[in-house]
Amino acid sequence: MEANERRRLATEEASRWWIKMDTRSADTLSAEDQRQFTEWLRESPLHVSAMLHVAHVHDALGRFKGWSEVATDGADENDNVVTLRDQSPREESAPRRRSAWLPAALAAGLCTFVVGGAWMWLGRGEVIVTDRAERREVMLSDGSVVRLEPESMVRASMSDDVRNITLVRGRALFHVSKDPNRPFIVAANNTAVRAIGTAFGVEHKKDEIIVTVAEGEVAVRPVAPKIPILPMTQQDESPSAAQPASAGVVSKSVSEVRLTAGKQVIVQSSGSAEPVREVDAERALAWSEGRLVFDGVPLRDVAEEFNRYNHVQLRIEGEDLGQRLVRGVFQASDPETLIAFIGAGAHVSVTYPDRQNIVVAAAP
Amino acid sequence: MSDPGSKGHVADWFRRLRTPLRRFLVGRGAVRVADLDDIAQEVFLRLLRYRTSEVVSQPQAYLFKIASNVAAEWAIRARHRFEHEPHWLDSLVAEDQVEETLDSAAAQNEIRRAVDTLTPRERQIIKLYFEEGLTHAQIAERIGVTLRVVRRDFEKSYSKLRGELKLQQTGALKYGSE
Repeated sequence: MEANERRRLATEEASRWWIKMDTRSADTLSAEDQRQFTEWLRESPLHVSAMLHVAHVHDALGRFKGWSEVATDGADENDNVVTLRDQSPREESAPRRRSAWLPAALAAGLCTFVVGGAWMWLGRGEVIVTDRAERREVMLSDGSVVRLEPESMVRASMSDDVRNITLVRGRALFHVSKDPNRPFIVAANNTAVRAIGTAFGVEHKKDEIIVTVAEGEVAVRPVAPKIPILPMTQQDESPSAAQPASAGVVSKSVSEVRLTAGKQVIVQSSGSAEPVREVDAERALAWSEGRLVFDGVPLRDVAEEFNRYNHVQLRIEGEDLGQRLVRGVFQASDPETLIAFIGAGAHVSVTYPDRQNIVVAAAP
Repeated sequence: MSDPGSKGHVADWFRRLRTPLRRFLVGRGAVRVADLDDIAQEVFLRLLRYRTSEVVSQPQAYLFKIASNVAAEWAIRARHRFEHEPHWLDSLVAEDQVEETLDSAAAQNEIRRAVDTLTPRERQIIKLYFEEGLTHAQIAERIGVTLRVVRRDFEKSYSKLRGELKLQQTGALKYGSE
């Protein structure tokens, strides 16, 4: 489906919802409508956008002052035509069924491929890659949404009975569309995370894999490494990406850890999992909202994390300064907030050798 | 929490939707229409992070509350950039001056032009709604058609106007007019 066509459909649906929710009407949305509207909104950013645009149209009309000059001649003559059309068997205000939306999602994915260039079809899966300072959100063909952080890579391979995703490097937030018949499995190194319909984050941190659940429930289990079922066709992967566990080798016999919302587990490179802990999921997944949270992390590592998110690169000079521990929450896209923070706690000099670099050094 | 489906809570429901919507449209965030798509991306992702059970109770309120937050954050970020790059000041100020608000003559003319592209009956219906403040049911009665026809014409008008209206920004620049 063309982009324009998808937009047109989304707008029609948004208008239908808007009129249905008309604030002047005594009728309110039924619980079922509320549910359907929520589902519709969370299907696609396009729907959210259409809704905001329709709100804008309504607002503009509400502020229009020239109604008295708007001619309505001919309104009556038009009546017959409209009445006739009204007899067509059209469902009134019923939200469109899901089936019509899936091709749209697929098309959206293809668009990303064409525009972004980083979305490739390789072998039997789609590969999504982000560069430094690049974040990318992609809807998979099943309607699930992957939000990829900078310097990350995901491979997705969909079949009729399983949705296999491999987080090759970096981190990503997954919002899984419900499909009880096709488990959604994310593999990262020696860890496999299985979900049915939920939202969770998976990240590589040094050799560990961190899984945090925002909504719903997932099962995490170690998988046998080095027996990948899917052939690795890529030549360009970093050494750290070598032989990630394929989701396909998940065996039911291995003990698994169940994680519900607000829970986190860290799986070490050895395959052993630390005890499940309770976390503030919003804080633990702050990165997916463009925020970076540090709890006593050396400044040098903090700078490195920032550099992942920005074209402007931050360099810390001086061993002592680099070792200082940072505790705080920052906007990933704004290194200046970090610089201000450092400046408040240490005597530093900040220089801008060129547009791409910022150097922070201990002041003499 | 009150049941949004029960008529006894209409006023309640109205207030819940109304306030965040107003804040989004006329809050302290400057939103260009061209930015709505980007804002929508961010709003979409934040919507996903709430539990379904939370959002379902009042999806409209969540939508516009989040949108208004995102718009406000954008405005703050823009201001920050502004401080760091004083030489942008001149161009920004110049740009602000030519920008239209919904109350400007240019914007009013544009709305007028867009409304004129509708069919006479669609014009009649939205005119009755916005000028006389009638409800959908009252409009149906006034012009002698079914409620369903009125709503359908509304839907069509809004869809057309979304494509037709060429305004530069939403009313969001109306600082603090809430």
